[in-house]
Amino acid sequence: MLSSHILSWMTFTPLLGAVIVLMIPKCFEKAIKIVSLITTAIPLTMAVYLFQHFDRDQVGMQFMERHQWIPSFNIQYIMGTDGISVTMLMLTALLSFLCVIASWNIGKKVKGYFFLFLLLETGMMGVFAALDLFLFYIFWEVMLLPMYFLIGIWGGARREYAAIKFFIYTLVGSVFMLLGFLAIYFWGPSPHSFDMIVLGSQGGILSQGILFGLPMSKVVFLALFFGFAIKVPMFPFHTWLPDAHVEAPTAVSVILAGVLLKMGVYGVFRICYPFFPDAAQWFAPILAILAVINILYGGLCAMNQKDIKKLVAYSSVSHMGYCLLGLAAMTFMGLEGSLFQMFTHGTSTAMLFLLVGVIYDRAHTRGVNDFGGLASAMPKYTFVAMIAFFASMGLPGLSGFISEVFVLLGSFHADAHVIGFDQAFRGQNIFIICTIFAALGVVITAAYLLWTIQRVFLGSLPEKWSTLKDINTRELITLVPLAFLAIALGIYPMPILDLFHKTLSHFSQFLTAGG
Amino acid sequence: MNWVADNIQSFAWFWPEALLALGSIICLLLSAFYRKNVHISFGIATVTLIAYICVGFYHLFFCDSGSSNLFVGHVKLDGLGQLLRVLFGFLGLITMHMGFVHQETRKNIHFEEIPSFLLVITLGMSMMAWANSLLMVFLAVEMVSIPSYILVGIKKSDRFSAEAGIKYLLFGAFASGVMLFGISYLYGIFGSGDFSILMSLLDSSFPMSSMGWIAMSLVCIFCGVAYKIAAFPSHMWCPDVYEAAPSPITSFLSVGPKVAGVALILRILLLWGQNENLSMDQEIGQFLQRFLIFMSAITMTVGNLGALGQVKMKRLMAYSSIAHAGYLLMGLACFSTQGFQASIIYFLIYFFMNVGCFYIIVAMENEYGSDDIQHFTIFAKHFPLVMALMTVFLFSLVGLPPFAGFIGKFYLFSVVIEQKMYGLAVIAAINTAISLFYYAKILKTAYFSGEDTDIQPQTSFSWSISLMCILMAVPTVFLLLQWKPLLTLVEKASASL
Repeated sequence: MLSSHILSWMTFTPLLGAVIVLMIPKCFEKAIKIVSLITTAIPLTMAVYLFQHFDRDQVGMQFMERHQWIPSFNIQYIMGTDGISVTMLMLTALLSFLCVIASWNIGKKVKGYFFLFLLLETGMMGVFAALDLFLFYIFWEVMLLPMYFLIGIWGGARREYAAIKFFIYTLVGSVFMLLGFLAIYFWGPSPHSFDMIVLGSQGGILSQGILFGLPMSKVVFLALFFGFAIKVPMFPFHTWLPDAHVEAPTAVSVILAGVLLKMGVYGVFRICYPFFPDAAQWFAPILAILAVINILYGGLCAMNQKDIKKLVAYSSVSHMGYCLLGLAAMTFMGLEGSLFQMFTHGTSTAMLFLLVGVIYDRAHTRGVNDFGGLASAMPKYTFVAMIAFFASMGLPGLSGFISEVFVLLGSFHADAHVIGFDQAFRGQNIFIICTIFAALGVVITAAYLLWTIQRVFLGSLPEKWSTLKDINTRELITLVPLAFLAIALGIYPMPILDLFHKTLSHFSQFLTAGG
Repeated sequence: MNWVADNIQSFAWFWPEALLALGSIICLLLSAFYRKNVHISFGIATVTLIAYICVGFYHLFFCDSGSSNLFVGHVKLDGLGQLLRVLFGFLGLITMHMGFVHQETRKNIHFEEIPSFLLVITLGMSMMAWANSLLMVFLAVEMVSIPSYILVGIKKSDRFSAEAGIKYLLFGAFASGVMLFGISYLYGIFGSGDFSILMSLLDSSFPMSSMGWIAMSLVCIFCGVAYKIAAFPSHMWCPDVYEAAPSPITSFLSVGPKVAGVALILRILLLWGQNENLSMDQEIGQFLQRFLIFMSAITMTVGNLGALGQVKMKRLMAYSSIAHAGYLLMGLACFSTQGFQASIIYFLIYFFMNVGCFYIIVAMENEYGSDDIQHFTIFAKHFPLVMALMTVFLFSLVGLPPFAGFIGKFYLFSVVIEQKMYGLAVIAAINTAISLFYYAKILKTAYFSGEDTDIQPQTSFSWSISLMCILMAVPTVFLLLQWKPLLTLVEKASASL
């Protein structure tokens, strides 16, 4: 019962928790928090179970569930996971649990906050577990509503603007995604289906037809990619991110950066690439260029920020660029690096946002230049922060290094498969150029992170900060597991790499053959 | 004397409508001569409508009427008409309840005359959905229009209400005139107004020279009906009238005539074929489709852009209802059974979410005496649960899952994509995103601003309003889990189209 429906349980336990929270009178804040903690701990234990029982040698979907839902539209309730989604499910479960702990000191409208937070977790889990396009879309949208309120009610000074900007940006993308799904349904192979496994295993659907002067498959690919690119966020659709991340409360920023951004890349992995391998190859050079712009532009923006949270937000833009570059490369190394970067960035950026939250709770400012010499006032805090900063920087021995190196190696060798746009660059292999620039991004990352460390933690401590309390146990509990992961996976990444090794080697062969 | 017998036999299906007419006359007489107790005319109207709904349900589910013509072909009996009859019955009932709980309407000196007009409009709307001849079309539209003018201007001491009544009347008269002009041309060309005769004439060849005239007369008719559904090019009256009319009447106008008008357009479109095999090769069919696509795209864009700057809730809902008329036309523009079904599904869902919204507007007006969006800040603090329901309705109007509005949008988008009308699909997608902005603005006012206050509400909340809000919210929230029953109902209703 449990093991055959484990994905449904993981997805809907938080929803159950949300309903229970709704029924508790709002004066019992403690009870609300404990219920939330329990209902996020259950998916986490299930994620551990998933990690142990996931068959690493199997290529296809595991822990499948399949039920008829609306037969007339051939809509089914399909849940399942493979190497691509299993790490994301684990990351979501872990971050949600830690975020409940990180939200313990929320003072305003506790009931509403935890209700929405649990609803959000259901949406996120569902996106990674759903294998039916219709179901996927519903979870994708369900996530938006709680996010809008979480930013808008509990956010910072410009929360109203940030919330609506996030909402509208994402909705624009997702409506086009819906149109794309419908086009796949009606013009895809018959029998018409929303089943992602069936559609993804055919090596290219929508091979016929012209739309707006382009082949159908490319148009639909672009429509779907547009929806995912906004979520990633890819330049030039990234402008919602700094606003949303800065204004959101700490835990929500963690979820935004740790999980929501990954959904964009996950969507490309799960839907765009397997459905339209030919369009993906056609688009790869453009994607590579945009990815490099993401890396460099995000990094340069981060360097110029005065607000630590905004700096971390822009560093996410930069780091997601590596995921996109790995995707564009379409080599085994690149894809593996991209997927691993999703996981490592999820842990390191979550740490950074938590750390910013810790200091903001104490000092009520986030200005980089307001601080200095914190290392002497808050030694424990500084120690954890160093791990987070260096993990984010990609220092060898920490997890970020491995994923970035994989991406760069993968994209350097990517010339073999890509046809099309490289003629425009006079026969130069565009991927080599892109890789060189992307490697420059590593330097930029090091620059802004080291500069921040210098300004915040080193130097002399201003008088007003001498009374700052060091990090407390609750905050340490949220940070230590992530720090542990960053170090452990930096030394020995195989436990995670193993999960998607088989799936990705199959996937990269499929992509190569498909074009 | 055959037609006498036919007319008498027709009453076997038609007696519920006769009941409505009777009820309305009794109510009118009571309000004129026996003004001591307003509850009597409301009671009679309620009983009439409940009987109407019950018979409607009975006919819908247990009597297989097939598709037959009544009253020598003026009225067509089929599943769609049967379904809409029940819908209009419910709408009339809900509007009466809303009028009863809306304090401003209750204080109106003409309060007791409202039920009688509502019954007439309900009858008229049913006739619109049943019409099978051009004559019937005109009669039914007028039957809905004239009592509507009165209801809109019923707050006659209020300057704005009177202005809105006149405005509605003038626009309405003009639109009716245009429609009648079109009808007269069509009658002149074919020599008959009966839809079944028109259909057979259209199937056979007719002189190419009259093509242009037919197209022109159809455009005239559509413009007339567009006035009823508040679609471009006859939508301008909508914001002023919605704002000034009493809220229960606004709620009624935003659903009833719109649904009836869509049904009427559907009937006219069916002249060009009955199933998958619509004779779209005919020039007029193509022209009509282009015209509808154009109308739909402009209507939704005008509605959504207009709503962006509104600060009054009813005015905002007026623009939103224009936008929804545009969405409804999307399904009709497909010219296919699936398209018509999508429109039917959409207006069934629209009924729930829109009426739910208006109940909350009524509650807000009771509490603060105005429909300014600003009041939502306090309203959300006083009545958090009701505001949560409002959130549900508003997101449903945007068409976001997991709410019912998404199912409607999903069907509309799917038929449009199926018919390869990608341009319209893209316009509708952009419009959905625009509409999010103004609906979310309401929620922003409600939740994001203002400090926690402990001000107690001045009046206690009517339990019946809460109950109705919950009743409307239940299908809005849970329909997504399983909407097969709805689909079965719609398929049954459209089976005999």
